[in-house]
Amino acid sequence: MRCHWRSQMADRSIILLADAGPLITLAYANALDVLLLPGWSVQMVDMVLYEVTRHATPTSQKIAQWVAQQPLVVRETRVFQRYTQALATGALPRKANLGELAVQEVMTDFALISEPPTGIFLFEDHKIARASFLLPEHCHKISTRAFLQFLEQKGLVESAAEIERRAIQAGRTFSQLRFPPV
Amino acid sequence: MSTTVNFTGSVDRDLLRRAKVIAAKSDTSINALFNAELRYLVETFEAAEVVSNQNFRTLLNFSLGKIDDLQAMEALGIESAEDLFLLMVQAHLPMPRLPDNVTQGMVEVLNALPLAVANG
Repeated sequence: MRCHWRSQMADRSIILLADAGPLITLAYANALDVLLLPGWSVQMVDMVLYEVTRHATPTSQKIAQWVAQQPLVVRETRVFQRYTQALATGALPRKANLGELAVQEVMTDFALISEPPTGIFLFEDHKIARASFLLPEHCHKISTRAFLQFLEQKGLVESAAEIERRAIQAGRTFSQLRFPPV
Repeated sequence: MSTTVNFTGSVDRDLLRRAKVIAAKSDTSINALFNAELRYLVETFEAAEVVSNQNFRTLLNFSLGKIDDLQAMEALGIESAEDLFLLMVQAHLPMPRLPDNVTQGMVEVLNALPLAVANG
């Protein structure tokens, strides 16, 4: 990477939030730091963070450590609050889609602010294709690929394709361990 | 002995460019690469069908955008996006991909935003 992150220069009017997919992809590529490169405020959604760290996976520790090392805001959501409350009562609430619901809640919260920040929400391609999100003004759904291409065009990363390739290569190595061929 | 036939198809321009690089490095042809990958796909799919394993079909349907991630995860009996990613790369199937013009539109959205970085 060609530039240095300067936290004091972060533009607080633009908030970057990543869904689970981009965090996982970037963690496999050892490239979580690219989230910091534009200098925008990088924030996490609590339910998403829980989703990617709750089980020991090849990336869970890496993501948890990276988040702990950054001055990131973790946005609290009612979705996560209710999920943990349900768990505490011994219930087994549904897990699928809760991260997305929490992200939607954050988007909705942005819409209720009188001078809303610009929200950049990173998703993998297949979630952007899904039309389930109600996207308030000032919020943008951006794919990991588009974000990486943007960074490449700005000269902030050498090669977007190389980062994607690294994720796939690392994924293949770990997939053999997690899902051994029968 | 198999016979070959010609057919007409279309391919992503950048993908073809990258495939040509691989073909050159491997001292082979695009045709040979295409046949090898198509054979892998067909044989993997058929082998799974023989043993009534629907997992590869599920992953292929997800790759092609015929089902979404939630449907794929339910069919595969997995709960995490990470496991789905790992199964996709193990099956040598690409994750679903938006058209290039859609991706470019998102890049343009980002280009309209100010950066707060210093090159150094």
